Amino acid sequence: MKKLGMLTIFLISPLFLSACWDSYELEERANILGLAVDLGDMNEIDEIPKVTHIEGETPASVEDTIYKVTAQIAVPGKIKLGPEGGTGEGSEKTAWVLETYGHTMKDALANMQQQLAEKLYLGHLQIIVVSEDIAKQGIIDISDYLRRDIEVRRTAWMIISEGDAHSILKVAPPIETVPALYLAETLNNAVRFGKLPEEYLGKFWINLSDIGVDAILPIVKPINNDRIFVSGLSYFKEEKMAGTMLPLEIGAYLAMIGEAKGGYSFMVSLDDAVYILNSQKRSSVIQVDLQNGTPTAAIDIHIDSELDEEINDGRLDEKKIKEIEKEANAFLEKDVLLNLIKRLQDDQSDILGIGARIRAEYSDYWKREVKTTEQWKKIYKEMNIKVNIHTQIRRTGMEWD
Amino acid sequence: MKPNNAVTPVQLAVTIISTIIGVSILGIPNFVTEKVGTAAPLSSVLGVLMGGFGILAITLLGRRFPKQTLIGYNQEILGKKIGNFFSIIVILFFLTLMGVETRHFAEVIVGSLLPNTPISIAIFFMIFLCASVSFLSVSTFVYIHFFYLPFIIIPLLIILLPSIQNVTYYHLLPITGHDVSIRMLFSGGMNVTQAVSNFMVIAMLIPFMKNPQKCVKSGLWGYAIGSLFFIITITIALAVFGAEEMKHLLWPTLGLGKMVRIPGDVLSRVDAILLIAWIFAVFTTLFSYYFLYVRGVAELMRSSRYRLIAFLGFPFVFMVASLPQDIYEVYYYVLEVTLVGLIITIIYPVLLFILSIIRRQRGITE
Repeated sequence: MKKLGMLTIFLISPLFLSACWDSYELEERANILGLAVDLGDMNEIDEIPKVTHIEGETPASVEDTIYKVTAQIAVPGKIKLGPEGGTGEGSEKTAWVLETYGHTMKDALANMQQQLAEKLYLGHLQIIVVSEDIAKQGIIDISDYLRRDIEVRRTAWMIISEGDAHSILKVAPPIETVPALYLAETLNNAVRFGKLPEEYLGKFWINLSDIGVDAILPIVKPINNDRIFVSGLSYFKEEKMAGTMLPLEIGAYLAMIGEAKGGYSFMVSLDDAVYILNSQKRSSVIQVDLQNGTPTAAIDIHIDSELDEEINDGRLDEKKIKEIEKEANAFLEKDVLLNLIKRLQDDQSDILGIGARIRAEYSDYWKREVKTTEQWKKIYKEMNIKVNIHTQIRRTGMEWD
Repeated sequence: MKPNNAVTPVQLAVTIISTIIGVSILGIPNFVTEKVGTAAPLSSVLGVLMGGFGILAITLLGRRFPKQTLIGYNQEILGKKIGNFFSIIVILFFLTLMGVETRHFAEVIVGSLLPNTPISIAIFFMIFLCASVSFLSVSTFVYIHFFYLPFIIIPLLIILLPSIQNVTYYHLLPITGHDVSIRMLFSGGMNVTQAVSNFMVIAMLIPFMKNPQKCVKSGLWGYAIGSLFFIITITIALAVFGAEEMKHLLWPTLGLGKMVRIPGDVLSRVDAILLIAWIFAVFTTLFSYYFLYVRGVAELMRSSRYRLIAFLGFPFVFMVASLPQDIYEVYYYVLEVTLVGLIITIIYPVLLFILSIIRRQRGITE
């Protein structure tokens, strides 16, 4: 018995000596920090490397799609991250930017792996830039791989680029050595300052899946090759991008969904005088209702703001403030909110989730009258959405006049 | 059966909590939601109530027979032969359950943490760990549970509480679901019952309590707290992801961990912490199953060679764990085995308890 026990211990002990199967040294990993996906142009390239497939064996729909995937890679200890403070010459100087082609996301990344000594690692992926063309075609296909991959964080950002997506990744800011981190930081801070909704990958996917909600993604464009400009917000109809809104309209959208932290400023004109108000705090209530079998929605918005600047006006007082508030309400309601809602309805993009709210609160109605998303889009297009906005100026700054 | 180190009521409750929170907490929101959509919270409350009959029966039996374990009062109530037969079935069931749950565990480990590690190694070490501590005394058993509980509960709360920021109210309405029949509601609830009704090991502990009369109260408390974690996890996962997105997620609780942002950006990848906590949770659960096997067989054979028994169960569990070919088969086995398990963990104790009343049997008290 004792001998048997000893023997067992000896037989088992090698298992403890195997060390780690999954050890990957940091230097052996190619950390992808940013990915950009463009539609590839067949004329630009002679052929797609046959890494995952044989020509003619895949369906035409896949065979004809060509993605150009650009990755910004950092290999710790292997790539010199450049001197502190870049030169605005493009991120090629500070990180490694690789381009490859493929019929699908995995195909393209497999091609990329074929060219690299290090193992691609997506755990630090910060940002995925998708070109407008792909977004207009539908975004589900490129999402699937990212969803399945266990390393991808749901707190990464997906953004749409005006023009080529890869040009965003080539941006190199002079103050940060890793460009993709700077891009992600730009977006994260925009959320903190109330300039963007918190629509990172995880939230985007949730909105994409939900019935009666359409998704949104930020749109950016490169400026001067060293920074990005958040030029608007794209709204989707199902999985396809349906249109864009301007930065001020992002503020309006944020106010409608009641994102608490205000961030946008807007101009109000009274006669010759111009006042710039900065929204400080926003809150909203979206109420859906069913009246005689037709759904309606009412959005009640409260904005606390501060007067930041006045031009061409002599003196501010309580009475003037009330007038400015009134004018601000009229401006925001007529010129901004109603326009935006009209456009959303015309494009059948329900980014406020009115459909989901009705489905949640009046599920009988949904079951009886709506049934499908297509039907909902038709109803949504025609439905009556009221907006009620109350702007209040709380403070006017350090100048007392 | 001389208790040398008595089990306190709190320890009993803790054992139940850490046994209940196990492998299934990662995937359960998906299963329930797939069946009943937004009615998942309601459905899981129903499921927990159904499981409540099991814990009530087990603890009441424990109070009625304060000096005997499950094996003991099986013999007493059903007669020696039939009693032993049912005891063997219970033991075999928990060994099989341990097999499929170990595989489920290994599937998560290989699928999300260690892709290059052979799956048999992940299986081997979990069973090895359970087997190598299962021959220890009852008091060590409860101490191990007691020790691990904070490491399971605190990380779970670290994921769940900040997730409340991401909650959307329309994901939870209507609470009775879209077009969900009563039958579906119960069938979804049954999935939760399957996940939380694995507390039978306490039948082996009650005789070791200083005062077995207190076992009903602490048993119910333990069950309530443990299954509350399930209800909360399911509700928050549903409120964050919504019924539609949930269908895309294999392990929604892990998905929560990948999405949550701790205020202040202290930690950027919380999912790793969740996985580590979950490994503890799996260990305590499987450990309970194996402990029931070791103690049960020992009592049946009237032997105290716990080490040998622990060693002999190993190949069986390993074999069961190696059976499924892919992740779909794993889930098929998990659901089938736990469904059969409902008969053993809930219906069987209830019948046993009723029978003991009819036959007016009572264990020796003092």
